[in-house]
Parts: sequence; C-alpha cells; structure tokens
Amino acid sequence: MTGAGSRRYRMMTERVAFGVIRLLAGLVVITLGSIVLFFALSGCERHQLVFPD
Amino acid sequence: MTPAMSEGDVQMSSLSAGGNQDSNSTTSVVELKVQEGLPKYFFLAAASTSLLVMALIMIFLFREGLAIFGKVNPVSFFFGKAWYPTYDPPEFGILALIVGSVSVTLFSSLVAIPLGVGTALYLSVLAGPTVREYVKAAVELLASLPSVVLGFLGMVVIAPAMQQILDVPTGLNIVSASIVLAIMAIPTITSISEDALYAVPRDNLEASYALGATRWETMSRILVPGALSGIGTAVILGMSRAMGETMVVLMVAGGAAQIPSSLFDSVRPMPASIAAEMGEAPFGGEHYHALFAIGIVLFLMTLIFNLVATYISNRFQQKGASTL
Amino acid sequence: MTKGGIFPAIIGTFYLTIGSSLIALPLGVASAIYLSEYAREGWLLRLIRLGIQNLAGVPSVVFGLYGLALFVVFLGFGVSILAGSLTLGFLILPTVIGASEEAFRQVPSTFREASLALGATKFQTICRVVLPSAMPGVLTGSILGIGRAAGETAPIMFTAATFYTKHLPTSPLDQVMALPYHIYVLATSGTHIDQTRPLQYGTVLVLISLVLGINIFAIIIRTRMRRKKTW
Repeated sequence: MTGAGSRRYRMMTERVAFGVIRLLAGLVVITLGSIVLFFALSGCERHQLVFPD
Repeated sequence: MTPAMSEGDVQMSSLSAGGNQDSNSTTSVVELKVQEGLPKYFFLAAASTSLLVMALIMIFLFREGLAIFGKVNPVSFFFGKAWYPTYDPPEFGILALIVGSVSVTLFSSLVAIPLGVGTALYLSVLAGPTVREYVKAAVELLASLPSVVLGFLGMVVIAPAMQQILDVPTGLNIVSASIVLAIMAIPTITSISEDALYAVPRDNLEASYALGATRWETMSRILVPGALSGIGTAVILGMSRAMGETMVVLMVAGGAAQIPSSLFDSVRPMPASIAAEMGEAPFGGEHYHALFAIGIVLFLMTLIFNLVATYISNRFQQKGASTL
Repeated sequence: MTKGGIFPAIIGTFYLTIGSSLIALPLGVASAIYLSEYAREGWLLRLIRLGIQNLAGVPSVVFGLYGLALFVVFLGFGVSILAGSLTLGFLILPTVIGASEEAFRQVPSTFREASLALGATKFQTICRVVLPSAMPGVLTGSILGIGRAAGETAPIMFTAATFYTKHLPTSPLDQVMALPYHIYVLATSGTHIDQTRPLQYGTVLVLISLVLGINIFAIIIRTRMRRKKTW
C-alpha cells in the first residue's frame, strides 16, 4: 500500500466511490421498474379511453 | 460447485466408463462399441448443428450479397456516401450506414459501460445475499424485454422528451437511439463482468485486507485489475449486441442515410436499413443483393467483436491464485 | 385500422414460440449432452464451442436474412410459420445449449459413477440418470431462451410475419400475424399512427406481460429449485 493520505481521507474516498456504485446499480433497477410501470399504467389507461365498455 | 470440481467430475466419470468396458469384456466387444459409439456420434452431430448453421449463414449471405459487386465497384460501395437504392440510376454507398452504426454503438457503450460495470461491482462487492438475488433478477428481466418494446419506448417517451427539453429538430437521433441501445447492452455487460469478478481468487482479496487495505482499495487495486480481461470481454460483447440490434435503431435512430455532423442528427445504421428496405426491395434485384451485402458487413463486424472477446477471455483467463 | 382484436397476433406468436422450441430444445439438449458428457478437450471441442459462441453473437437481422435466403427462398417454404420457427429456433439455440450444459454439469458425478458401477452403459446412464436429474434445470434455463423467441421482431419480419390476415393460420406454411411485428408496424408505418396509439400501448402491454411473465416464472422456479436441491 502506498498509504495515500490519512485514514479519514481513505474512508471518505471509499464512501464516495461506493455511493457512486450504488447509484449506478440503483439506476439500472429503476430503469427496469419505470419501463414496466410505464407500460402497465399507460397500457391500461389508454386502452380504456378507446374502449370504455 | 466450482469449475475446478466439475472438470474433475468429467475426468472421473470417463475413467470409470473405461473401467466399466474392461470388466464387461465377456459380452461382445463389438456390441458394446456400437452401444457406446452410436449415441456419441448422434450427440456429436447435434452439437455440430451450431457450426453447420454458422456455415450456412455465411454461405447464404455471401451467395446473395456478393452479386452486388458484379454491378457496383466495391470501393464505391464501401466508401460511397450516397445511399439512394430506389433512384434511377440507384446509388449504393454504405459509408453513411457504417458511420451510423459505429456512432450509435460507441455512444451507447459510453452510457452502458459505467452502468453495467457499476452494477456488476455492486453485485459482487456491496450487495447482501437477498438484495443480490433481486437485483440479479432485475438485470435478467431487463435483458428479456423485447427490443420492439424498447424501440417503442424510445419513440413515444425518450424522443419527444428530448425534442422538447433540448430543443433539437428531431428527437429521433443518435443520442436517443444510444440511450435505448444502452439499456439493451447493460445486462450483457453486467452478467459477464460479474462472472469475471467472481472468478478472482478470494485469497488475493483476503491478502489485501490482511495488509490493512480498505474495501475500496481492495476493490480498485486487486479485484478490478484481476477481472479486467473479463470486463473487457463483457464490454466488447455488449458493443457487439448494440451494433447488431435492429428494432431500436430502426424505430429511434431517425433513418436518415447521412453522415452525422452532430450527436443530435438522425442516422440510418446498417440493421435499420436492412430491416426497413428488405420488404420493398424487388427479389433478386440489385437492391436485394445490396442489402445482403450490408448483412455481410454487419455479420463480419460482429463476428470480429466476438472473436476478439473470445480471444481475450481465453488468453488472459485467471487460472487460480498461483498465476498472480 | 382501429377495429378488431389482436387475437390473431397472439395466436401467431404462440405458434412461432412453440415451433421454435420444438427445434431448439431437442437440438440444444442433445448438444449439451455431447458437450458435458462426451466431449474431450481438443480441437473439435474448441471448434464446436467457437461455433456456438459466435452463433450467439450473430445479429438478429442477419438471422432474418439467413432465414429469408435459406428457408423462404432456397427451400421454398415461403413466408410461413415453418420458416419463422426454424429461424427463431436457431437464434435461441445457443441460449438453450448454455442453459442445458450448466444443468448437466450440476448433476453430481457420484450419480454417474453409481449408475456405471451397476453395469449401465454410458448411454443408459445419460438417459435414465443424468437427464432426469438435470431436466428441471434444462427447462427453466430454456424458458429464458423461449421468452426471447416470443419477443424477437427482426428475424420474423421477412420470414413469417404479415401485418394483416383475415384468417387464423391453418397450416405451418401459412403466414401469421405476430405481436412484436404488429407493434412495429402500428407504431411506424400504419395508416393512422396517432389514432392507433392506444392500440399500440395495449399490444405492448400484452407482449410485455407475456414475456416478463414467462421469465419471472422461470426465475422463481429456478430460485426455489436451488434452495431445495438436496445433493
């Protein structure tokens, strides 16, 4: 280990980096969720507009 | 079960099969050979179908596609900027289509690589067992979304939104097509990268922790470098997927056969051109052959991507802790 | 075109999916048996693996061209369920092979050894011991491939699908409507794109429910099986 900086600095880097990774993974899951939700909602809603019975 | 164990299994079972044959030498050897040999060749034949299909794909693509070079000079075919297949006289220059394909592939990988690799890192380093199962299932479901559905999403949501927010002439452009293509490439990148991260020997990680490194230092200096060839393979296969994807670029890229001057220009990537025009191209005509020739170019480009990916993953395979 | 239902398209997709599984499942399972039970390291195995890997990477539209040139034109099947099923079947073949091979590899070697020790031939061992043990894994893995066949558009555009037919298909040589192709045509080149928007959303919802339903089903079964596995 090169011992880059103090322990506090190292922990901070870790927190930021892991935060970014969590964000990226979260984005992927949200993408799927929102696509499915979008088509589920719009599919039902739009279809009823045309065929009310 | 670890890969090493399953290799052992195969060896052991083939050993015991040999022993079995020897002990049965009282029954007719010929009969036994037939009993054991015939199924083997049957299964070999089945396994060879994939090779046969690859060969047939090449034969038929070339058979139908090479005919165009009898009428159009290969140089003007590959480097001609004008794609006017229905004009009289028609012009068959596919440079704009190639540039279109390359631009959406590159830009989509810019979006897909951080998201795909990030998710893989999350799965292998940060996620707990339960969350991991769910996130993996989500990635798998993302991969299963039909391309026409994502293309539709691009048409009705992403393109209009982009047109309004960024005030560009058309929302059907390189950027919106790339965003949708990235959604399709992410699962490929994530699952292959995750396998690669998983294959890094635990010993190396533990040695790093023992030296006092934090989780982040271990991840960035031991885990990722150890899995780099696998991540590279993942990225290349993801790009290959994006390049060959048809419906998304057909519906979202705009379809203008021009060399783009900005990221917000419409393009007509190769798969889009094939899919859109094959229905109208008179069978056996020049246009028909030209579309097959585009198919050859597309096939060869993705084939090269795949061969490079295979080469990297074979060449730099981690063979256990001792190779580091 | 705003009248009528999408039942013919659902039926068409159903036939194409069944047809492609009829081709991909037997071939895929047999290939996987060779790869996991018979093959030894060497140039032949490397060549076969190379073929499978690269087949998996062939773009779907190129499969469409291949199906058009070979099945529709050269073999004379015309634009038909048969030609489309063959094209889709070979498209999902690598997925089925991959899933099946993994399932076979997870059958413990002790199963095989016990069977061989009892005097069974290798073929008997495979048919009566390995295959039944691996079958659940093979099927769930393959369902993921089959879900892909249901949603693909580009390979059936030139080989099986038509935008509109009055009749439900009666023979494998008929052309059919299919959900993915229906969405594409309605959304891009239908006569009244804006008027048919609601229909497009509805069709997309049906297709998504179908494909995601198939996949969620397979994933749940697979997770349960992994937990229950006793060996």
